[in-house]
Amino acid sequence: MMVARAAGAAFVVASVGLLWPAVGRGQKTGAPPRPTVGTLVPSSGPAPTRTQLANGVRVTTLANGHAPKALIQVVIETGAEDADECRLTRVLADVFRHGDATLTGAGLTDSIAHMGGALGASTRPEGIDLTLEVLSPYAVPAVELLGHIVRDPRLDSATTSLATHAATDRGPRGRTDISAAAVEAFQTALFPHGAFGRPCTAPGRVAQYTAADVRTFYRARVTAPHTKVYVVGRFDRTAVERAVARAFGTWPRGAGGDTQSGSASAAAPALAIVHQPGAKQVALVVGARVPGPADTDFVRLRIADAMLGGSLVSRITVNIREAKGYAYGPTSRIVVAPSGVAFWAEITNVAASVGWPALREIIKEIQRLGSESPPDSELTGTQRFVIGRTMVERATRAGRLEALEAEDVATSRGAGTGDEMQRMQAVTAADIRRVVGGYINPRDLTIVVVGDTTLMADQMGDLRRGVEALRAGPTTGTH
Amino acid sequence: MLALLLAVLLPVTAVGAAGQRATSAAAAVHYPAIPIEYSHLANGLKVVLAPDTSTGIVVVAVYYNVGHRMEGPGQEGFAHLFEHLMFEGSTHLGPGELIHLISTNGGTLNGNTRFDFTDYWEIVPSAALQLMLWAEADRMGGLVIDDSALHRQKEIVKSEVRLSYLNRADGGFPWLDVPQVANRNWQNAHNFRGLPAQLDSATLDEVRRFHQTYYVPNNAVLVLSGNFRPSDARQWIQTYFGRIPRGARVGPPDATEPRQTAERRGERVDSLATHPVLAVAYHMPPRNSRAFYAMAVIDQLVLQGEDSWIPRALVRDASLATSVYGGANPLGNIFTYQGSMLWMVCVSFDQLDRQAAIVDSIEASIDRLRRQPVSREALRLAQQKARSSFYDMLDDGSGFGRADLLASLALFDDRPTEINGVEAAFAAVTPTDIMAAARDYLGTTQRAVYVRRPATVTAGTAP
Repeated sequence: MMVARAAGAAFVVASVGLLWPAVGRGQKTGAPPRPTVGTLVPSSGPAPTRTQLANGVRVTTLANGHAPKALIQVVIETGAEDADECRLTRVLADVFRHGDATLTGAGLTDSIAHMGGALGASTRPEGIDLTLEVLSPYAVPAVELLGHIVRDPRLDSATTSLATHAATDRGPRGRTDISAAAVEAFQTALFPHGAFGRPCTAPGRVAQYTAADVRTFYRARVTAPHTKVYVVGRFDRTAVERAVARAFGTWPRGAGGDTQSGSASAAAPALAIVHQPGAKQVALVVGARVPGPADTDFVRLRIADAMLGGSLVSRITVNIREAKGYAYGPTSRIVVAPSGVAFWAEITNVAASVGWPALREIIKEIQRLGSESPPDSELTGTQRFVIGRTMVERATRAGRLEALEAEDVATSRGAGTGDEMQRMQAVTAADIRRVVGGYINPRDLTIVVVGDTTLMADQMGDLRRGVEALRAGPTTGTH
Repeated sequence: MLALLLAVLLPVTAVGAAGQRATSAAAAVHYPAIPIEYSHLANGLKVVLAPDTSTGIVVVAVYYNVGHRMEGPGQEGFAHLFEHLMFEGSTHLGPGELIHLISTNGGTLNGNTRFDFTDYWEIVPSAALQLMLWAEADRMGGLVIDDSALHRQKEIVKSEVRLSYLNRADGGFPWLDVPQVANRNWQNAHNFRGLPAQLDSATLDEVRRFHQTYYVPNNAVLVLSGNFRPSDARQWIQTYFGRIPRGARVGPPDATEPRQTAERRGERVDSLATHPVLAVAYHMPPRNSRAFYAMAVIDQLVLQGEDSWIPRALVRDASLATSVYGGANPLGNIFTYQGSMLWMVCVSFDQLDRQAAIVDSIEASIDRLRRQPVSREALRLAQQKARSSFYDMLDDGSGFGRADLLASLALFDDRPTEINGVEAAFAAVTPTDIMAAARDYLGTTQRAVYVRRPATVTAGTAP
C-alpha cells in the first residue's frame, strides 16, 4: 500500500479499498491481490496573494503550473438587469470585446495574438467575465490592456450596433437545444423574479439599444468596488501587481455597496412541460432551491449532490444509466448566484419513450436518500470522490482561478472559514438524509420536461398523476 | 493611449527598446523539458513514465491501437460500442465496479474512441496509483461480458448517438460528415458512429474477438504522468501488466487515401438546423514531414484566432460569416492520429446564397500562401501562436493533454521523447516551407466542399 503523506496534511479520509470488494468474482489463482488505497492527501501549492486597491478593486494573484503562461480574468459584478432591460449585460460584454477608445479591430486582435492569447468576454448571472490568457512575458501588457478596456470601452454607435447584432444573433443555432431550454425554463420557473437572470421577453428590444443606453448601463454597473482581478500562472508577481495598480488603481471609486440582485424569492414548486416539435429526446430538469455557500449546510449539500446525481457512481446515474440504460449523460449540480442564492438540479436527456419512467426513477432516488441515511461506506466513498475531484479540478489555471473566485464569493456572503476538506470529511450519513429530505423534498420539486410531447402522449397521464401525488406527499425531513 | 502602449510592446510594430525587450523575453521562455522514461515490457506493452512532483495527482492512461478506422464493413460504430463495454467487467471487477473503484478513490475517468486508437484514462490522487494499475491490467487481461451488459451498453450508446448527433442541429459536423465526402477509402469514409440498427446487430462473439485481437499488450501503451515514484511504478507495472500474454500480431487495415485530383462536393439537409454551415477540407501531409509542421503553422496563420486571414476576411471585413473554426483532427490535435487526416475550415453563416462567396474568400487566403512566401513577421506571429497553443495542449484537462500526446507519440512513432522537440519543429518552419506545403496540399482540386443546410430556407435566401 502506498500512503502519501505531506507535512501539515489538512485531512485524512479512511481507506475504501476494502469497502468495495470484487462483486461476484473470486480471486484467480496466482493473480496479484487487489491493492488498497490509503489516505488522500491534497497537494499544498503556493498560497494566493489577495490585496485591495484604494478604489475598491480586489486583486488576487497565484503562482501556478509549469507552462510559461498567465491567465488573467477580470470579474465585473454588474448586478441583475432591471425588469425592462433585455440582454444589456450581454451587449456590454460584447462591447468590451471590441477594445478601448483608441484600439480596436485588426489592431486589437493582432496585439492580442502577439501575446499568444485571445480575449474572451462572457456573461454570468449578474456579471461579466473578461479573460485573457497569454505567454508569461506578456502578463503585464495584458493586464494593462484589460484595464484600458474596462475603464474606457468603445461606447460609440458603431460598436453598439455590432454588439446588439451579436446579442440578437445568439439564439440557439437549432431548434433542439433542449437541455439549455430546459435549464432556462427551470430557472425561470423556480426564480421568476430574476436571481439567475430573467428571460428576455422582448428580444426586439435588443436591436433598439443606442450607445447612450449602453453608456448609462456601463456607468451605473461597472465600478471599481465591484471589480475583481485574478492572475494565475507563471509571471513576475511584483511587475504584475504594479501593472494592476497602474491599470485599475487610478479608476475613480464610483458607487459601492451591494450590487443590484435579482429577487431571490422562489416560486411554488411547478411542473412545466414544453413542447419542442421534432425533438428526438426529452430533456428533464428536476430540482429545488437550496441554501448557498454562507449556510453551514452547503458543504453537506455538496456531498449529497455527489451521492444523488453528481458522479458516475451516484444513485441516479447508476439507476437510469447503468442499470436501465435510459440516459447517456445524466448529471446533477448545485448552482450559486453571486447573491448567494442557490439551487440543486438533476439534468438529463432521455429517449421520449422513457421520459416518465426516467423521471419516476429520479424522484424515487431523491425520496430514498431523503428518508434513509446512506451506508457509511457509500458516504466515505462519496467524500473521497468529492475531495479527489476538487484536487483534479484545481490542477489547471482555469480551475484554480475558478476556485479562488468561488472562495471570494463564499467569503463575501459570510461563509465561515476553516478547511474545506475537513468540513467535507465531517459530514455524516444523518446529515445527508436531513439535507436531502429538508431541502430537496419531493413535495417541493420543480420539474421541467422539454421535448416532443406527441411522442410522450401515452405517458402524460401517469406523469401528471405522479407529480400530483408528490405534492400531496409527506415531508421526509426537516432542516 | 492604449494603442501607443501596445505599439511599443508588440513585435508587429515594435520599434522601441521596450518592444525589443518584450519580444526577446518571449522568445527566451519555453515549456520546461518533460522528464520521460520509456521502455517496453517483454509482452510488447509500451510504458511511458513522466513524473512531476509539482502536483498531487497522477494521470493513468492506457491507449489501444484500434479506432474508428479499423472497423470493417457492417461494423460501423463497433469500436465506440466496444469502448463502452470496457467498463462492464473484467476478471476481478464486476459490471460498473471499475467506475466505483476510481470514483470512490477520488478519481475522474473517461474513455474515448478516436480515429486510430481508443483511450481509457483516470486522473487520481497519487495514493490511488497502485490500485489503478491493478485495475487497468485486469481489464486488459480479461474482459467479462454477458448479453445483458451488451444490451445495456447498446441502449446507452444509442442514447448517446441520439443526444449528440441525431437530435442536435449540426450534430456530427464536421467530424462525421466531411470524411464521408472528402475520403475515398472506406476505412476513412464510413459512418464512424453507426446507426441504431447497426449497433443492435453487434454480437457477443464479435465483442470477444475484438478484445482478443486488439486489446493485447503489444497493441497498447501505458502512460503515467504526474506525481509518482518511478521505482514503485516500474515494479507495479511489471507485476500487474507483465503477466498478460502477448497477442497475435495485429495488421491494421489499409487506410491509405489515394491522392485527390478533382474537387469533391457534398451537401446534406439538416432538418433541425436554423442556419447553414460549410466546410472546406484538404488532406494533411504525412505526419512528421516538413510539410506537416508547415501545415501546423499555416493553421495558425490563416485559421486560428480572430487575427488570422480567413476569419478576418469572412467575419470582420466582409460579414459573410458569423464564425469560423476548424483545424486538423477534430477528435484531438495534429499529433493524435496516424495515417490520413483532413484539415478543415468550417464556417457558420446566415444566408445560403453566400456559400460561393465564402468558398472564394477561403481560396483567396490560400492562394496568398501559394503565390509568395509569407513575411518573416507573419511567420513569427504564427509560430508564437503555435507555441502558445502547444502549451495549452500540454496542460489541458489537469494533465490529460500531456499524457495524450505522450501516448500518441509512443503508439505511432515509438518516440514519446519527441514531445520535447515540438517547439523546435515549429520554430524551424520557413516561408519557403509554407509556400511549398500550400502548393502541394492546398490546391483547389485537392479540396472537398461540404454544405449542411436547413430544411426550410428563410425568405430572401436561395436554396
